[in-house]
Amino acid sequence: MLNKIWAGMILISTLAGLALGRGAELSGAVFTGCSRALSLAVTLLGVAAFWSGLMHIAEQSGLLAAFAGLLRPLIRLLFPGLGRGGGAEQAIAASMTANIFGLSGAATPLGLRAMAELAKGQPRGMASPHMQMLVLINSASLQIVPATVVALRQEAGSAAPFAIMPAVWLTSAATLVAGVLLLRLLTALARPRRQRASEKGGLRRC
Amino acid sequence: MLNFLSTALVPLLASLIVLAGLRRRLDLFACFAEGARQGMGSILSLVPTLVALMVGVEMLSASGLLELLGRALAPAARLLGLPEALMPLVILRPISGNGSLSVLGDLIAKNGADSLVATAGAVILTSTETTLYTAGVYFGSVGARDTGPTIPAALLSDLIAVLVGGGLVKLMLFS
Repeated sequence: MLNKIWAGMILISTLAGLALGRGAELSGAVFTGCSRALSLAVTLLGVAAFWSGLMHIAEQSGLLAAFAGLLRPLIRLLFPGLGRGGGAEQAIAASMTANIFGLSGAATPLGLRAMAELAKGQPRGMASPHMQMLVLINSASLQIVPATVVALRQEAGSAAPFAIMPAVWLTSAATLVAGVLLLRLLTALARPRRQRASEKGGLRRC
Repeated sequence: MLNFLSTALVPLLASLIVLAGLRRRLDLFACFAEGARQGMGSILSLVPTLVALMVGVEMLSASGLLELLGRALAPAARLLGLPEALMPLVILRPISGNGSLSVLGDLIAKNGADSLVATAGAVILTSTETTLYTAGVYFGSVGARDTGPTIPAALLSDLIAVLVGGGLVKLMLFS
């Protein structure tokens, strides 16, 4: 996916830029891009170091595990019928905690472990409703401190780099609620269709 | 209350974590350094991707194509009540995290961090995820091909994030 997008970016902008007579700007852009990428990385380096350092303490001190415990009622609401206190529930709690605290490095492996737990004893090839819910939750970014973007704003001389946070919290909460409702609604709408297909003798699973 | 929280949250959270570490008698400094090393490593490994994408984004905007795209999507932006310059970010967001971060860096550099476009972009970027990438990696990891209505539901909720985020920024910070 990214392969095609990146190749497209380079090729299409070269074509369009030359057609519009912007060759010089285009050449300049290559070098601006390189130096901007590095200054972006430098801006993020300090924040990422500080934040992951703190989070490592939080993890080692058991604070993250305690927080994961607080998420349990929410998880039971979103994943009805999931075994209580089981491996899947714990893995989901850990993955949500990593997302909420912005541990981008840990969030993906923990989320994949949760997927593997949910896949146990399920037919392969089909995403169970619980798996679908987990992907939906993890694709709605719930984050307490959006450290990366705050650092970017601070570096660019924002008068109040943190001012976006309340709007971010409200937006991501609204997004999550909307996503959960949409998933349930679309699932309910799709059910009759899927049943009809299977009555017609849909594809045989192998 | 929300404003107080947003300004004081980072030091408060840091203190809470330090206190929890002290209570467990952790070697705080070594523990911090270990985590920090990992965090720096993940940013450093990001540099090649950032260079590739940032050059792509800069080339797109130098070629004049990004403006054309913005103009083509202007009616949609007006319909949603959003600045036109946000549209490239909105389109790129579900596909590439680093790509949309590059576009936001560009918006901030050109319009200032506290402009309406850059602020709305910051809120939209942080309250959504790289939906298509996440779904691909997660479903791919368990070999699920029939993913039900997850991806449409997640993309629709991203669109809701764009609307709610843009609206809230105007309401809370620019009115």
